[in-house]
Amino acid sequence: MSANNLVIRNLHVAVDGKEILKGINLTIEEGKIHAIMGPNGSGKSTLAYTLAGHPRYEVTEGEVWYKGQDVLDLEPNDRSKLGLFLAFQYPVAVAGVTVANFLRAALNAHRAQEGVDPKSTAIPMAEYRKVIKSRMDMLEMAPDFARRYLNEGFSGGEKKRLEILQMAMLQPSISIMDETDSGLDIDALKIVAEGVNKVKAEKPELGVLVITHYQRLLNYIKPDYVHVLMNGQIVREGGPEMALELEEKGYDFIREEVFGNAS
Amino acid sequence: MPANLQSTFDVAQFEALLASRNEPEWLTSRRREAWQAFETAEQPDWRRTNLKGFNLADYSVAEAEVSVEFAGAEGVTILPLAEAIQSHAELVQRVLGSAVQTSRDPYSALNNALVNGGIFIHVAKDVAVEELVRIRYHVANAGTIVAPRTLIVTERHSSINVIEEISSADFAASAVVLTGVEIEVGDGGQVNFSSVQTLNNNVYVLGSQQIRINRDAQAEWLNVVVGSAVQHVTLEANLSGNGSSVNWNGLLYGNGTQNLLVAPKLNHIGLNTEGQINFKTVVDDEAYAVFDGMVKIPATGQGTNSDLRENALHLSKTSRSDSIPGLEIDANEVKAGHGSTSGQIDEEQLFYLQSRGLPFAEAKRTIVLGFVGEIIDMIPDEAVRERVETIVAEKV
Repeated sequence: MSANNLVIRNLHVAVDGKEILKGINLTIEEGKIHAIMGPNGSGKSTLAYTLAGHPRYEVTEGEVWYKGQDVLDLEPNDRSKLGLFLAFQYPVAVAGVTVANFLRAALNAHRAQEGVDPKSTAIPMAEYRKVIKSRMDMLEMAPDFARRYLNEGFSGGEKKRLEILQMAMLQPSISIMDETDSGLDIDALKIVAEGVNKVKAEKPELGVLVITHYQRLLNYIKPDYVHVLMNGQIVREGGPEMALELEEKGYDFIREEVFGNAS
Repeated sequence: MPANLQSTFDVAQFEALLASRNEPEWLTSRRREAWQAFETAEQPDWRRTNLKGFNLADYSVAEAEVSVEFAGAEGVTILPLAEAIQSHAELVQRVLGSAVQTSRDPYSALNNALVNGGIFIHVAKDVAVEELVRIRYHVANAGTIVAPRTLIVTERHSSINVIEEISSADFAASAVVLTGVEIEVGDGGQVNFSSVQTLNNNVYVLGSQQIRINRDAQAEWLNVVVGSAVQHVTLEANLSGNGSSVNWNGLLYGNGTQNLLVAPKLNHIGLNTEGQINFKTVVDDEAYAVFDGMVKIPATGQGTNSDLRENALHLSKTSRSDSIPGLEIDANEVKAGHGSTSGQIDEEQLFYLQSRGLPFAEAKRTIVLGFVGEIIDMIPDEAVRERVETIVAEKV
């Protein structure tokens, strides 16, 4: 198995002492698009935050391997440097920090090497301007966007586009899209999905984990595999056709098959 | 004299000082009154200002080094205060002592008794000056007490931009700065005044600033405080004229054992006045910062629109800040809002920045610099802004 696959084994995660993920086994393959679908409260966002290293999520059992490293041992910033990216469902506003300055700091953090003067690895200003301009052009973003404070006063669509811009700038090798479609109208959804596809087209080895409640995003970001998360476990796996089946039948039929008629 | 005000300068020395200055009688008698008030005053009940170990006997009277940068413009008079006392006696008499009030406390009294070295600015009517006037008071030596005063008077329909920085050499023992800023904005005019305090962390600062804003006049007021061991400064914006307004921003950034206090008071005296206060506070280590704010809308202040915001960020468990946003309203047709927040760095913000590759320390630093940057960016002089940024960068 390629070290460039992200491998999750028997992952158990608790939040405030309550177990949410109950033994997840999942391999995100290099270059593939995986969709995780599931009803509210199934643990989708818990999985996303846990992979990114949010301190509130306590791993009680299991392991996550990527590029030969135990991801769970790494700080969130080191996971980012390893190539993991989380597009937040609720991007956070930070007043006084401009998009341009923040992205430069993030890029420089990625370029930094232990024991080397960060000034010598920092991206030269002229080069940075060129890079951010080309990324923003690709995502059809107005130039003044870069001068605004991070997510401060952004609309839902603007926040999600900023997430995609960050992804385009940082060039991750695994991207986790946490409910990227939530709160977006269909036009905004298309723009965001196109952005993801453009980044993926430039970097075919990018592995993507699309987390969503609804099938509609998957019309625009076509998955290779679909996994159904329910009650903290992956209960079904299949190809893209499974998303359509879920859309048609809802989650109840799986719930009945897996857990019986009780619910 | 209150116990800790026991001073090496006695009446005889004070009289010698007066004699050496050769000032007009009105000022000499004001100084004498102030000295008497100082000698008879009780120690003020300042529970939020730590003057333990502060003893005036440790200091001798000196003058701050003063520098003024301004190319000059027709209708603008900028003079050392000592000259303006002679040449603009009437104006100086009217404005001197409006902020620093002898009766307020012994330090204000002493401030008025000793006031020395200062700048007087007058702008004639209908004169609009774009260029920034840069004033810097610099305390060169430890063991000194200085009392510089800035006076600004603008006539109607005139405008000016002024920045005042109070700085010091990097000495290890302490010094005392008795500050005073006294400004009068003429009808329909505008004064933008920035006060920036970058003293070293051993200096005591005690003083007052006041801006009186007349009919249809405006003020932009900025107070940035990053230095000193202890600061206790009262600030007062008097919206005296109908239709006057003030936009007032500030920053206190304390670390180590700094104890920084500002007491901004916004008085909506005229009809239809507008005032906005937006202050930010950061405390780290064992620092203690105080925002003792007050918005007053007397019965005369109908049509007032007032808003007071104060946000504090605590970077350590042992740092403290007090926010006291007071509001007194005696008029019935007013809009007045106030709010303050206080807390640690938001964990979600930290995680968000870390998830993009910033190490914890850099993520924290980025958030703090963003928080204070909104205010620091308002400093109109690049050199002063850079000095403040350097000081803040060392603190974070």
